[in-house]
Amino acid sequence: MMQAPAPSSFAGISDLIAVLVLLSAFAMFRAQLLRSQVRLYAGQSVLVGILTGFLAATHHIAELYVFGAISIILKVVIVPSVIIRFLDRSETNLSSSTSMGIASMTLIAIGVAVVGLFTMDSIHFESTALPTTALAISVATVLVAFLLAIFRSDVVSQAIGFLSMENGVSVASLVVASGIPLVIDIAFLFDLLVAAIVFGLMMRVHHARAKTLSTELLDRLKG
Amino acid sequence: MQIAMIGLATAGLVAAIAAWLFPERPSKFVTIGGGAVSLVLAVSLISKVSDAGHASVGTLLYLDPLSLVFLIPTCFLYLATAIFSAGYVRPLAGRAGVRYARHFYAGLNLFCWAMIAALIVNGLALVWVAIEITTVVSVLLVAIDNNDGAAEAAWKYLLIASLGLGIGLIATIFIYAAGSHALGSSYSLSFNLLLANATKFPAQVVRLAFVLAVIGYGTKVGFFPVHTWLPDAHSGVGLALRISSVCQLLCDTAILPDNRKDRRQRISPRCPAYIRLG
Repeated sequence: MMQAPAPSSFAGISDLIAVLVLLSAFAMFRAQLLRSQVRLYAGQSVLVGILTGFLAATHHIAELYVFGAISIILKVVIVPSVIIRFLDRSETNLSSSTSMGIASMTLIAIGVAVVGLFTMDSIHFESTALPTTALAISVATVLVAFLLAIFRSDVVSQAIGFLSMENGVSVASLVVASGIPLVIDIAFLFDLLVAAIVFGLMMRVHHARAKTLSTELLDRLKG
Repeated sequence: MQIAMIGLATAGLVAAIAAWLFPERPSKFVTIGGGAVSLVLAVSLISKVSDAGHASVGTLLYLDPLSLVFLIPTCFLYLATAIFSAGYVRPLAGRAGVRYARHFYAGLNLFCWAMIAALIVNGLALVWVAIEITTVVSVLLVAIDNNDGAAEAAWKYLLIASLGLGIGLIATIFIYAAGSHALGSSYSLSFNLLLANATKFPAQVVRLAFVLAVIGYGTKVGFFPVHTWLPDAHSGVGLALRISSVCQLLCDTAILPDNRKDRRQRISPRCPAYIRLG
C-alpha cells in the first residue's frame, strides 16, 4: 500500500499555527473572565500575524508584510485596548454569562468544528500559498467563533466572537487569496476597524442603559 | 456619462458632510438636494447604459442595465425619504435637538451614499465594503433615539448583520479563489474581469461561494431564517426610522450556477446590494 508523503516543514508549521488559532477560539469559548477573552483574542491575532509574516517570508510576497503589520497594530493593539478600557470604565460584573453549561457548549463546538473540517475537506481547493488543511481549520475557527457569539449572553463576548470570526476569515484568505491586492486587504482592515468602533459605541450605549453587560435583558422586543 | 457617474458616487457623501456642518434647516434642503441630484443623474444614465451595454469610469465604477434597475428606485427613495423626513423629523429644542438633527441628516445621507456606492462600484470586494458601511451607519441610525427599544434593536441588528457580512466576506474570498484559476493569483475582483472569464471558474467553488453569499447577504436583507433582527429593528426604533419610504438594496452573489447542458458555470451580472431601512 502506498503511503501518503509526509507533509513538508512549511505545511507542518502553517497547519500548526492554524490549529493554534482554532484552539485559541476554543479557549475563548471556555474562558469565563471577559479580560481573558480579550487577551486570547489578542493572542489569536498575533498568531494570524505570525502566519502572515511566515507566508510573506517563504513566498516573498512583500505586500503581506504591510498587511501583517497593519493587522497586528489593529487587532493586537488598538481593538483589545479599546475593549479593555471599556471594561475598566464599566463598574460591573466582569465575568461572562452563558446560556448553556460549559461542557455542553464545548461538545457542540467540537461537533461544529468537525463538521467544518470535513465539509471543507470534501471541496477541492487549490492553493499555492498555504496547505488546504489550513483552510478547513480556518472555517472550523469561524464556526466556533459563531458559537461564541451565540451562546454567550454578554455584549463583550459577542463582540469578541465577531472579531474572532474575522481572524478565521483572515486565515482563509491567506490560504486561497494570498495574492489579493493590498488595497483590498487594507479596505477590509479599515472596515474591521470601523465595525470595531461601532461595536465599542454600542457596548457603551447598552451598558449606559442597562447598567450591565449582560444581554439577557434584551428581550423586550419580540418581533 | 463619466461626470454623471462621478456625481452619483459623490453626491450623497457631499450632502452628508454638508448636513454635519450646517444647522437643521439647511440640512433638510441639502438632503433633498442630494436625493434630487442622485435621481436626476441616475435617470440621465438610462439611455447611455442601454445603448452601450454598460458604463464605467476607469476601474473603479461600473454600471450595467441590471444595476441601473436597482439604482433608480434607490435614488428615488433617497429623494422621497429626504422630502418626507424634512416635515416628519421634529427634534427637540436645544443642544440635544441640534445634535439629533445633525446625526440624523448626516447619517441618512451617508447611508444613501453607501447604498448608491454599492450599486456602482466595480468589484465584489468594494461592494462588500459599501454594504459594511451601510451596516455601521444604519446601526447608529437605529440607536439614534437613545431609548431602551432602540438600543436593543441596534445591538441585535449590529451583531446579526455583522456576522452575516462575515459570511459574505468568506464568499467573496472563495470567488477570488475560483477566479485565480483563470486570472492568476493576483487580480482585482472587478465585474468586467469576472464576467469575461466566468466559464473558466471551477463549478464546485462557485456553488459554495453562492450558497455562502445567499446566507451572508441574505442576513443583511432579512431573508428567512436569518431575518430575526428585522422585526425588532422596525418596531423598536423611534420616529427617526418610522418613515414611510423603504430603501431596498439587494446584494446578490454575482454568481448564479447555471446547469446547462455543457455544465459550465456562468456569472450573472447581479451586482446591486439589497438592504432594508425601515
